Amino acid sequence: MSIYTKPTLLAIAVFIVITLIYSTFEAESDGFSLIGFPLTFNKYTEGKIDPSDIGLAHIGFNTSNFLLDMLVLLVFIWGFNFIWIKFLKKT
Amino acid sequence: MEQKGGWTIIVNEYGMTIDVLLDLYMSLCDSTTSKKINLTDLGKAIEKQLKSTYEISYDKLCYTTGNIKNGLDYLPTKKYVRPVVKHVQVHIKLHQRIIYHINQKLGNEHLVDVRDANKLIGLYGKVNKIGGTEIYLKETFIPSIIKGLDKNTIPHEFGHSLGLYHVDEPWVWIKSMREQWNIQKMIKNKTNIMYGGGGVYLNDRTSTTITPEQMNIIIENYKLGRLNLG
Ligand SMILES: [Zn+2]
Repeated sequence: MSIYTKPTLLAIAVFIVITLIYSTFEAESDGFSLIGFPLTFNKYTEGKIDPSDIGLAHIGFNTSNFLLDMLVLLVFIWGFNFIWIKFLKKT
Repeated sequence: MEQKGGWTIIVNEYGMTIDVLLDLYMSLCDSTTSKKINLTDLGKAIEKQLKSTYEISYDKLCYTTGNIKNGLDYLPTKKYVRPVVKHVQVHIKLHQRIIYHINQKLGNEHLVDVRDANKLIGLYGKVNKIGGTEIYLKETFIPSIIKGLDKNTIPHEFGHSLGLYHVDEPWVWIKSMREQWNIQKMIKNKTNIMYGGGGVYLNDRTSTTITPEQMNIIIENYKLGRLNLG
């Protein structure tokens, strides 16, 4: 299947918007900010960290979740291009 | 009658003195499963620590305006602006109430909710948002707060509820230019409450002070409607 610029850019834009909506931003008030859709690939805080259970908090960048999110982005791009070719391009 | 809640900041000027009253209605709740938190003692510790941190006095440069009468009819009077140094004295007044479930929190009353350790994994405590009305504390750290070993967590979290940001985070200037401190300012104010978790000067025992500039920001935040946010 050919990949077109317009649906690809639209897919990336939609994916970024969904990621932002799906993320939580509480780091500035000592909670966690969770970035990523559908899986959180970055978790961070600006607040005090409890060293006793820091291991359970899974703070930091999660490479496997990031790659899975990128896979979902590829599905988005494929889907948007499919709709573009199938329904919109002809019209 | 619905109880008046949250922060009210009253500023009264008497000649060369400015009296600032930080007035807070708040409820304390123990949401832990063990229910072993002594909320009365926690309330006393909160009052003691907030008074110690926020009841400051300082001099503030103000500008007074007035008119100089010309003395002659039909000629306009001259306006003048004169700098004056006024003495600011801050007081804090807390109205505390113990509740047994967070649903009992009234209107815009602030909530201090002690939570199980597994509800705040990796954290000490947090506020629902900057200028927010809900402060969550991890049960693990309550004994050291009550004993006075940790004198930072309470004034720090209430600082967030008063709209203050961390002074040492790289992007603070986007939200509040005056709260982005350089190294010199940090060295000068090593005992400030608003250092973030990674702050080199952050210390549970000694990070207990605020600056006059932060107090002015708090007063501005109140006037601009940035406090008592849901
Ligand atoms: Zn903080």
